[in-house]
Amino acid sequence: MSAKVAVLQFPGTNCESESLRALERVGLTGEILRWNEASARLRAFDAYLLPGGFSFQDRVRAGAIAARLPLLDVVSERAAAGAPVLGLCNGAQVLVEAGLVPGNSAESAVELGLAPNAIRGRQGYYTHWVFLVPGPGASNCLFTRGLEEPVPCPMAHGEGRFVTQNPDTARRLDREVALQYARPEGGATREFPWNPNGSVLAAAGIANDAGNVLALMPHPERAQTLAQVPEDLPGSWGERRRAARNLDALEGDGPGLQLFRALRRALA
Amino acid sequence: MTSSSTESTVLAVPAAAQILVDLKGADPTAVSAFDALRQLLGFGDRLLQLKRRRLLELALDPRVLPSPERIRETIGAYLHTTTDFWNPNKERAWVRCRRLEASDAPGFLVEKQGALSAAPFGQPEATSAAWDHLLVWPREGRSAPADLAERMPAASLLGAGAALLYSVRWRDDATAEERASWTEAIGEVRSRRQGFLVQPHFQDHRRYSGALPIPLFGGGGE
Repeated sequence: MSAKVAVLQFPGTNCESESLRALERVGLTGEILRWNEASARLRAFDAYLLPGGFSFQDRVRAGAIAARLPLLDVVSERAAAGAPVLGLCNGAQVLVEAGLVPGNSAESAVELGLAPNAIRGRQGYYTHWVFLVPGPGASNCLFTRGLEEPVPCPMAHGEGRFVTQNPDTARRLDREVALQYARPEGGATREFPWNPNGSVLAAAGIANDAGNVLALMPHPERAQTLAQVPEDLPGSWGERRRAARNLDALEGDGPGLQLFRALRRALA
Repeated sequence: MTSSSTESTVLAVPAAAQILVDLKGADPTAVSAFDALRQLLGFGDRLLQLKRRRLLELALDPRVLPSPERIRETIGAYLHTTTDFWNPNKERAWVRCRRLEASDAPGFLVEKQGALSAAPFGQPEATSAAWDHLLVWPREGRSAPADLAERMPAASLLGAGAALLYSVRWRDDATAEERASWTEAIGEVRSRRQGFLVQPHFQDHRRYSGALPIPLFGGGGE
């Protein structure tokens, strides 16, 4: 029997279906559960995925209200026990607001913020395909361990710039940034548009100390098939996309699936 | 006092105007923040009301805008023409203005309902002594609307800053110390159980108790 992953749906979450599909493509069993699910039922899952969207309409701040729900007590408790937890986009914002990244429990201090994008000449929401490369903390994080090639996938957010005012946290981030924004040919960068928000250390995804929780702003679940990859994308994934000439080939694995395969390996 | 410091004092905030913008209807963000504070963060029925408004504070040069009427006309004209700052179809704008005399005597220059219906002038809600306030702004700057400088008369604007203003009313029997302590406690986020309205990694804030002062940015918060 395959491991079961809870896909947590808050009011305003809108990526639960494609997140579930990505889990199923790699052979995991997933189930979409609402934010008010009973704690005992939630605890029965092996891993947790917080999908993207606009939980509570991003009121007050993105992720701020969802992070205070009792549901996060369970996620926090299970994360502390070693269960994998993946937050994508708004899910990442919830994990950061809950103090689960880079901390480890519900009592952890909130050491990071996801600030509005800092893009010269424009404000607010931005969407673009970006390239992710393993950061200094990749080998410690179960979702990124063994990742070798750049992972192109879309980003789509207005508040995705990792920041911290805590000097100790800033030092720790050197080893906890699991994925960084990079140029298509590789090489982490803070330059727009490859780094779309000005994130510190070019951070796209930050893990906790134990490596079982990852807050990732881009959307790997939107790059789960080759058909989703833009034909004009530079690099090897663009070449694969251009070479795909029939429906079967287009339905082949996309670059984002690598993170979900890593989750399956961890749960094996 | 040297002449340069005198000049800098005179030009710092000779007149201060505040434009407070809120929604004409219910504010969903304020409703959600109120519910989260009461139900998820344990403030319960200590918290009676919460309001959220956008604030634009202006420092104006009285040599260019010498009278209350001129200030009122100028801000009214700005509010009627700006496409950046507010949406008059769904929002209300309240304007408060005060000239800072040498004695710093309080007194609103603009208190009455203005002729311009889209820009009501007068005392906005939740500025009385019964309320406490958190002024919240991005650490990287209180940037003013992009079209402000070009739409104000030349040389009238000495400075401007924008922020978010949360105003809260605690239960009536709360002491001043309790009110101050609770208002502080709903502000800066420390963990998911402590703090809420201010994300300290990219926002700054200042707390005020009681009647809302003019100016806020230049004035002394707590």
